[in-house]
Amino acid sequence: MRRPARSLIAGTLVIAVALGFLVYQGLASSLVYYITPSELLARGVHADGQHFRLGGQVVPGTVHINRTMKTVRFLMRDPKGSIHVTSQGIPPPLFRAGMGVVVEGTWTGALFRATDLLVKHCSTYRAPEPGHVPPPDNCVT
Amino acid sequence: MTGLLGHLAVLLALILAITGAVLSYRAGRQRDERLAAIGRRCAVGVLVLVAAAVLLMEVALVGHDFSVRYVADEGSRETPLYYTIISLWGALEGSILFWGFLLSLYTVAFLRFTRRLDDLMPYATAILLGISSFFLFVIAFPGDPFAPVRPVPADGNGPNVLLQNNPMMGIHPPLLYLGYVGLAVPYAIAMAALIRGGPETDTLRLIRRWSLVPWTFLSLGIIGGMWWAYAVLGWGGYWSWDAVENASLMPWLVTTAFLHSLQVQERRRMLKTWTISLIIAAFLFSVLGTFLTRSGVIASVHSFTQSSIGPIFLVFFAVVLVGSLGLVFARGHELGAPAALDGTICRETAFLFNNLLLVAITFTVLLGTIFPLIAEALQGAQLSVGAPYFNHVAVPIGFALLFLMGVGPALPWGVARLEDLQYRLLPAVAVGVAVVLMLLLIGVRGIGALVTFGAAAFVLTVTLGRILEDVRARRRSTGEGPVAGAGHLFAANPRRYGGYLVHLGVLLVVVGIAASQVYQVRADALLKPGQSMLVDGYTIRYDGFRPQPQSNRMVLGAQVSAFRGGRMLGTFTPSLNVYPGQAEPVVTPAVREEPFDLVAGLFSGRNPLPDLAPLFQGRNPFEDLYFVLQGVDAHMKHPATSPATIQVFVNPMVGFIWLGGIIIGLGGITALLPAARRRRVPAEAAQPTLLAEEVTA
Repeated sequence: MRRPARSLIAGTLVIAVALGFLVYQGLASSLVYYITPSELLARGVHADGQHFRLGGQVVPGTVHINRTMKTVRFLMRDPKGSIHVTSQGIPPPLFRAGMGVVVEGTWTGALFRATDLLVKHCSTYRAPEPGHVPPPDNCVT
Repeated sequence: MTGLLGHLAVLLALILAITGAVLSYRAGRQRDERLAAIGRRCAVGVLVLVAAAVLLMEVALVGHDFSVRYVADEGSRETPLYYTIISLWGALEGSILFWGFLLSLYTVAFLRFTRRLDDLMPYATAILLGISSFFLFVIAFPGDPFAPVRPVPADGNGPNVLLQNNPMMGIHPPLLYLGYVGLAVPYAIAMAALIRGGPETDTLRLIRRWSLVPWTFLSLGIIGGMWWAYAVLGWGGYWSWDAVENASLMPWLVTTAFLHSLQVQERRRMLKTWTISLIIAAFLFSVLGTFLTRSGVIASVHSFTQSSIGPIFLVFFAVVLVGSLGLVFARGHELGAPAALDGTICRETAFLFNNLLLVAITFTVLLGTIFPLIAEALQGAQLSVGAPYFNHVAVPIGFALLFLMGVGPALPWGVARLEDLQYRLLPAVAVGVAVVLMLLLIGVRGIGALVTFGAAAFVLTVTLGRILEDVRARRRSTGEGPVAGAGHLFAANPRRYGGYLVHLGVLLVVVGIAASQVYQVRADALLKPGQSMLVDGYTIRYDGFRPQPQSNRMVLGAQVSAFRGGRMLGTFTPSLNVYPGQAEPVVTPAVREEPFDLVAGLFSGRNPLPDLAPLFQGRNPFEDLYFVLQGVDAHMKHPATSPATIQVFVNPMVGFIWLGGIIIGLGGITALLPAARRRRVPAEAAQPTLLAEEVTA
């Protein structure tokens, strides 16, 4: 068995290094932590300016949709805390008070500025077990 | 009663599969043809029993027999018949039953169509029946769709509403499944070759044929799934890098790498262990994909233990992984002495880099898909890896692959002569550059798309140039006319030209993706009936709102008209569908799909010129208009006056992706065709060197 040529090893190494770099850079820039309002509050000032995906429930009576500016403002809560959220764009038709939503955006220290608003879908392919009650997170099946 | 019969059929099939697997293995050990024949009969028996189980499940679904658990979970009296029939693969248990059915179908087809390699077949049968046994065990016990329900409910829950919104649901999941499941056959052949040991003979040729079948199905299933997502989900795109999509992409990438490295193996007897490892990996990815998408593990590491199917799949995956790796390490070297590549510029090297890049993309997609699981298991942190990661990593590698797709076919085997390369590559590079300059001149911008278009033109030129070169060589050597020559050439080597056809299809897909990603325009507005909005040169008028009751749902449709340059392009009805017992409506977008709309127009006698007119104004004529009804303030007394929020996407060249998919499928089928027997060429007219190089590739 002959040894593979040096140029091949070099080429493979270049690909491997470039790949490692791409993966590192890609992960560093697009890893988004998924937290709830109370977890965000618990992080305190460390969380200021950070990018998150925030999930919770829309508090009824707090939703203001501005159709000319195309923004929506609401209070999002989990059992232990709540946070003010503004979001760009008119919310999807499924959006309503009391339901579970996930927003993605930046925490400014007082307000969560979301660039994306997703209505929470239950995982489609969960295998139901007899006697198993799905968690009451108000998602849309 | 149906449930009991179904359960019984599955149990008998399980016993038969285990028996067949054991007997076939012994047949292989003892070279006992009588035992092997019994094993083959077991495989046929399994197919008959599983087919009966599927039929019984359909009878229960169509007959609304809610004493059967799967029917109670997934069926309902309101669901239209078509969606009732296809709800067999709408949820976990039914889709595993369908998996088992397709696997036994593949097993019997494989045994029926493969007559050679007698010492190998019993082992392959044993592996296939072993895999069947696992799935039949899951169907018989933890994931039993036939389990009885007491008391019997009056009506079922009905299938997931997203899955009953588009007839495509009846087509693309079976295609994907035929792809996933079919990978078991080449896997079984590879494993049989390793178990048998000794140098391989024509095993890889057999593996190629049986991996091209699932590869073609997988390609069609992936593109079909993209079309489904585009037409159903209503976010204006077709690929979101979610786990289900990635799960189908990974085995496709690995099988694609295999189909390329196989050629190096056949031509130069190199990369044997690597090639066989790739096809084993492809099956592992198909099992992993099934596990990831069907066990609920993607939602959360902790949710998959709620069902017993998740851990069982994980164990199965681990067994297959360890068993396969063990065999490759123990026996791989017996496949024959590996020859090393010498690193010169030649087709082998191009294939090698193609393989490295495809495996690199697979690895990064895998990492991005399971990274959240690893992070949650190790840190307890819930996080997600967004589409930017996948784009960031996959786009540069994709460019490199696109470049290789042009360079590879231009390179000869062995050692390249510089003049040949200049002759083949320089004109193509010139065409690529010219295309970019011309597009810049007519005002096209966007670096990513321009580079893609230029590269695609380069690859297209090289590919067509190679085909032309072959045709000319054939004409010189046989003196046939151009058409007959091309016909004979293609018939003599469907594999080579099928491959080129696939490359051309991939080019269309790549161009469609680049154009639609870079040039998508999106706008939304709250409109009263009669009001219009302007989007990218189109005038979109909202004409009114019309509720329309259907048997299983209420369709709230918004009438929208689209105009360009004062010419009416058509009316569209994006809608919100309200299902009973479902608080939230489901969006159905309305799409004007080009160039299909143009073709349909031609058939109905419409003048195509106005549709193509934008071409002469430097505009893309192939733009989809994609409408979503985002919300409506319904006045129930005067529904026609309700204001509605309409979202419009202008998606250029998305249709090219679907066309490309069709061509990839045709290419795959072409490559499967048997080569026509080479006609005897008069000795004085033949140029043996040319024929040897050009025709037997």
